[in-house]
Amino acid sequence: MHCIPRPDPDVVVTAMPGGDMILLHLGTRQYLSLNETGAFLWKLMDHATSLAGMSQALFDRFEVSPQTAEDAVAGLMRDLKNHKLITLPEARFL
Amino acid sequence: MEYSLCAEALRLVCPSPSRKARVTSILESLFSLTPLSRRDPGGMELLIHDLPEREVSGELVFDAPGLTAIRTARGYHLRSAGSFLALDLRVGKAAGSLSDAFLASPPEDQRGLFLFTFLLLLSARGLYALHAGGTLWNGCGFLLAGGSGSGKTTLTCALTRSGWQYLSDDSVLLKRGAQGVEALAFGRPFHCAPAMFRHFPELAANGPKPLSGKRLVDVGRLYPGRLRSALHPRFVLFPEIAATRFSRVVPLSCTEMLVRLLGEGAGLLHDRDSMAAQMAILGELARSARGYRLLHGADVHADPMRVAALLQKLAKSESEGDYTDALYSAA
Repeated sequence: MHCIPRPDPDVVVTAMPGGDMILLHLGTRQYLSLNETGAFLWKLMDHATSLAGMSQALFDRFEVSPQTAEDAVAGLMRDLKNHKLITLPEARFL
Repeated sequence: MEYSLCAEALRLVCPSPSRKARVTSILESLFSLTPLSRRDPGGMELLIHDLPEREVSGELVFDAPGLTAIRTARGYHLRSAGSFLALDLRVGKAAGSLSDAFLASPPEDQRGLFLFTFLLLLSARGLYALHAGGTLWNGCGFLLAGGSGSGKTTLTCALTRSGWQYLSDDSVLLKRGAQGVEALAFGRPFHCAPAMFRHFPELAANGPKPLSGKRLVDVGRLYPGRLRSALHPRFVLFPEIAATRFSRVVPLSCTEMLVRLLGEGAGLLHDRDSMAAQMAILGELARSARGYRLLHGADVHADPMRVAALLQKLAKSESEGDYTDALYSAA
């Protein structure tokens, strides 16, 4: 949980009203839409936040249980990695 | 000879008048093409010559029957049936040779080479194709986005026959203008499948009958005064055939609309810089227009003209600010 996910440099981010985001990978042409929570976590990557830090931030911001926050972060990272939208050095934690 | 192709200047140079007539005929079947009286030095250029093809190095990005595309340092190199065009996207120029076999092939087989050539040249100038029909009622612009078989042409034809103005039944070009995203006419003709003739018999009597595929019908001749060259989209509709008695529209969020534009409407380009710019303009369209699923049911299938009343109701409600989470039915 201490590894730090990084956005793939080929990803273009389009912000939408309401806090959603659409991510498009220019190399693979795969895309993924993120809701407000996903967008919140994506923005944390700009600040080199670890997975544990993301779970904590989610817990603080959205008043969910620690386990729910951890599961949400793991689920999103898995989706992002499957779409090749991030690089994640220690993916075995997902 | 100078032309305006989708509102961009084009200089066409051919080795003979007959070759020029042939190329012009192909371009007219694909694009909105009109002669210009003076030369625009910053315009695009299509130079047809009889020189042999040189060896090309680059990345093969597209290889299908009838068309091959190689990405080169300056742009793309396209091949089709012994013909080739080398594209320099930096200066907006395409140059190459057309083989006898290519020129003898049916028009349907000749269009791909020129279609991709100009999709790429236009994208380098900030114009991006969207797989969508375009139509206008009372100053309100509608795009009907979706793949083949979604009903774009039938619905666009019904709207045009109902007195709406017409931009395209199949593809438009999006560009950023001073007043936001603008949709430009891509080509003039309707792309009519024989099944449409039951509802629109006037289409069967117009346009040359193709050896295969759809008949291209010139809308300007069929419905005089209805052609438009541009519109500002206020609605983006995604037509779907529905097993329901009455047709209706269902609102989409901006995010849902952009995902649909990516998945159904927009052919994302291969070039990374163009793709990022194309994504930006699609995002702007999704933020500035209202998106709806258009579920066309038995009422519209029995009488396509009924779609006009449904969409007029939608436009009227929107102009009165009464659009939130509403479902509009043709009933």
